[in-house]
Amino acid sequence: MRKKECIALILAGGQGSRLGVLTKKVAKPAVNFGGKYRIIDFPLSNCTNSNIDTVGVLTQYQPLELNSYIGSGQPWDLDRSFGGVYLLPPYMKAEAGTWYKGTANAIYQNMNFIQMFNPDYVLILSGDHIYKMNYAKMVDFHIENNADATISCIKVPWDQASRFGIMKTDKTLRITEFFEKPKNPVSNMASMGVYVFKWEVLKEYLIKDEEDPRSSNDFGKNVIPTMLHDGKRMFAYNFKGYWKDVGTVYSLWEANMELLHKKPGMNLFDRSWRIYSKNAIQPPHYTADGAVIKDSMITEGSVIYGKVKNSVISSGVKIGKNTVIEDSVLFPSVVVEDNCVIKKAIIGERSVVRQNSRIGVEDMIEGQIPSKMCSDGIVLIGSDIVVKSGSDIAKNVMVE
Amino acid sequence: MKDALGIIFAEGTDTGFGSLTSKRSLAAVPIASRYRIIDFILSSMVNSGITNVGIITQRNYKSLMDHVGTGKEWDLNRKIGGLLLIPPTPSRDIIGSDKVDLLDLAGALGFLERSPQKYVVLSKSHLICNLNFTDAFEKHVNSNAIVTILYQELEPEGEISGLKNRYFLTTDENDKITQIKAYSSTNESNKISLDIYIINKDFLIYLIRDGLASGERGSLSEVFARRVEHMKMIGYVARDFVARIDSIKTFYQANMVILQKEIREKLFFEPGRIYTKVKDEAPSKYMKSAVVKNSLIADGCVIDGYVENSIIFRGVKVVKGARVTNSIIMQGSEIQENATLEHVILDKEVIIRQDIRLTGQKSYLVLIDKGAIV
Repeated sequence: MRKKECIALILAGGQGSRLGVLTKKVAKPAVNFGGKYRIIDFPLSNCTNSNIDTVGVLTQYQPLELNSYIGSGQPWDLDRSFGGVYLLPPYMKAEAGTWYKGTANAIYQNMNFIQMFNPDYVLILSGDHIYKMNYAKMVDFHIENNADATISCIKVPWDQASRFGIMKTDKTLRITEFFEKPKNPVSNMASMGVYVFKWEVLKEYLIKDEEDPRSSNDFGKNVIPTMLHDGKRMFAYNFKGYWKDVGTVYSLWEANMELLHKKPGMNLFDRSWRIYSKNAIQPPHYTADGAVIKDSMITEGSVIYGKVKNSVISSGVKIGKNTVIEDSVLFPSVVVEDNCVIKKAIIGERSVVRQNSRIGVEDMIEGQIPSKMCSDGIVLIGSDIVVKSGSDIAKNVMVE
Repeated sequence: MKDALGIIFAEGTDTGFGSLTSKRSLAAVPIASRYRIIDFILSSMVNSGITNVGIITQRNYKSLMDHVGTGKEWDLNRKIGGLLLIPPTPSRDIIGSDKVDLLDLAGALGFLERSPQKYVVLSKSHLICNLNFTDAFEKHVNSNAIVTILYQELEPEGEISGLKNRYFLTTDENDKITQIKAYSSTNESNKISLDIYIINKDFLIYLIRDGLASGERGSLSEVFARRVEHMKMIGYVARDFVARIDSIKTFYQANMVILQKEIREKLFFEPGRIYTKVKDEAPSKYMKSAVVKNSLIADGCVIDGYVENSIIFRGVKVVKGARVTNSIIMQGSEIQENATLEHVILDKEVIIRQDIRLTGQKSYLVLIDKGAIV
C-alpha cells in the first residue's frame, strides 16, 4: 500500500471574531497579510519548504474565499497526483453529520482522510500564525525521541503566558506538566499549537476523547492532558525564531509594521524559504513623479501619487495626489483619492476613501462612541466600504 | 474563437539587439519590469479564447522554453490543445530569420494537421500589445475571406523611420485588400501591416506543402502579395496601442512609453490581463533614503537610492546614494553606493560597483551584458 511518512492538517476553521470586521466575510486564515499574502500562506509554504506534500485544510467558518484561494494548491506546489492539498469541510455522514465541535473533533471527523495515506506521523498546525518553521526538523526530533507526541513551544513574555498552553519539561525535554491557559503560569514555555503525533497513538486517543461526553474535544484542554496523564512519551520542541499570533486587530497591525523594520524578524526576502501566494496577475507598481515613499512595502498593481510612510500597501492599491498614508495597512484594491490623510489604519479589500477625508487623525469626541470600536488608536475599515468625501473618522473607530 | 488555433513565430534576430539576444530569442527578452516580450501576444491570444497555441522557435530557445514551461501561467496546460513548442525546421540552412518564411512554418505542419481548428491566428512575437482578435475573427469567417491581415493606420505626420521592410496594404471600400507592397519612397498607403494574420488552416497547409514542393520561398507577406489579386484577402484595422520591437532603440522606447498612464492602463488591463511566469518575490521595500519618480517597479526590490524615469525588474537593489535615471535595470541587478546610471540598459544580474558612472544618450544607449560586474 502506498503511504506517506508524514502528512499535515491545518486547523483553519476558527471564526477569528477578535479581528472584527476583517473576518465578517472571510475565515481568519484567509485574512490578508504583508501586501501579497494571506495568513494561511505561511503554514502552507512551510509545509512545501519542509517537503511535506500532503496537507488537509480543515475549514468550517466562511470557507468560500479560503476554498477559492487554495484551489488546486498550485501556487504552493501542492497540486500532486498522490497527496497535495485537500479542503476538508465538515460533511454529512450516513447517520449524522455535525460541525467541528473542537480541534480534536475536527481531526476525529477526518480520520478516514488521514487513513488514506496510512502515515506514521501526523502534523497538526493552526492557520493563524505568521512564522517560518522547518517542520521536517521537528519530525526528526520526534522520531529521535521515539515520542508519542511532540509539542512545539516558544518562550513568551511572562505576562502573556496565561493566554497559552504552558508546559514544564525535564532535562531531556520530556513534558512533565501541561496547563491550558493557566491563571498562574509555572513556566513561560508556550505551546504554538503545532503538534506531531504518532498516528496510531493519536487515533486511539481521538476515539477515546470522542466517547467521553464531558470532553470539549479540544487538543489543549482534553487530548494533551489525557495523554500526559496516561504517561505517554511527550516532548517539547524548542522553536527559536519569529512567531506571531495575529488573532487580534492590534497584533495583525503590529505584525505588518514589523515587516518594515530594517532587519525584520520575518524576512520575506529569504530565497531559501520563500513564502508562496496566489498570483494577483497585476503589472509592476508605478510610482509617479511627486510621490514620496519611505520605509514601506509596495507590491504589484499599485499606483502611488501621494506620500506613503511606514505602511504596507497591497496589490492594486491606488493612492491619489497630496494624500498622506502613515503607519497603515492597505489591503488589496483599496483606493484612496486625493488630499486624504490616513494614520494608523487597516483598510479592508476594495474599500474606497473619497477625497479630502481624514482617518485616524483626531481623537474621539466624548459622548460620540460608535457601536464598534478598536483599541490602541487603530482605525479599522472593513471591505467594500465607501468613505464619503470630506469624512473625518476618529482614532479607534471600526467601520463596517 | 474555439475554431482558431494560434501560432507565434518566435523570430530570430541577427542584428540590432547586441548582447540582449546573443543567448536568448527576442521573444524571451525581458521587458516592462516583469514580463518577456512574448507574454503580450500570447496573453492576447489566450484572452481572445484561443486554447491551442504553437510557438515556432528559432535558435537560442532555451530561455523561451524555460519561460513558457507547460503554459500553466496562461492556462495552457491542457489535455486538449494547450501549448506546444515547435523546434526549428531541421532542413533550414539559415536559422534566425525575422521573417515568417514558408520553410520556417514547415515544422508546424504536424501541429496544424493534427489540430481540430479550422482557422489560424498567426503572429510574430515582437509586438507589445493587448489585443482581442474576436471581432477580426468574426469578420474573417463572415466574409468568407481566405486571409485577414491586421493593420494600423499611420498618422500623416508620423515618424517614418523603421518603415523599411514593412508592408503596406491597399484596400477597397469593402476592406478587400487589392495590393500588398513593401515600403518604398513612393509609398501611398497609410495602412501598415502588423504581420498578424487570420488564415484558413487548409490554405496555410497548402501553401507550406506547395512551397516545399515547388521551392517557393519568402515571407508570408511576400507569399500573400503574389496571390492577393486572385484571392479574397481582407484588411482589419487595429486601433489599439501596439509597439513593435525591432531594435534596441524601439525596445527602449517601448519600455519608456509604458510609463505613460493612458498606455499603461490599456496595455495591462484592457481588454484582458497580461500573464507571465510567477517568481514568488516579496513586495518591494522602500527604505529611508528612497526617492522614486515616474518609474515602474516589480516585486522583490530594495530601493534606498534615487530612481527616475526607469524600469526596474524583480529583485533589483538600488542602495543609498546610487542614482538611476532613464534606465532599464533587469532582474537581480545591484547598483551600489554612489554609482550613477543614465540611459543605460542592464541585463540580468549585473553588479555596478560603487562610484561607477555610466552615461548613455537617448539615441545611443549603454548596454551591459548579463552577469557583468562593472
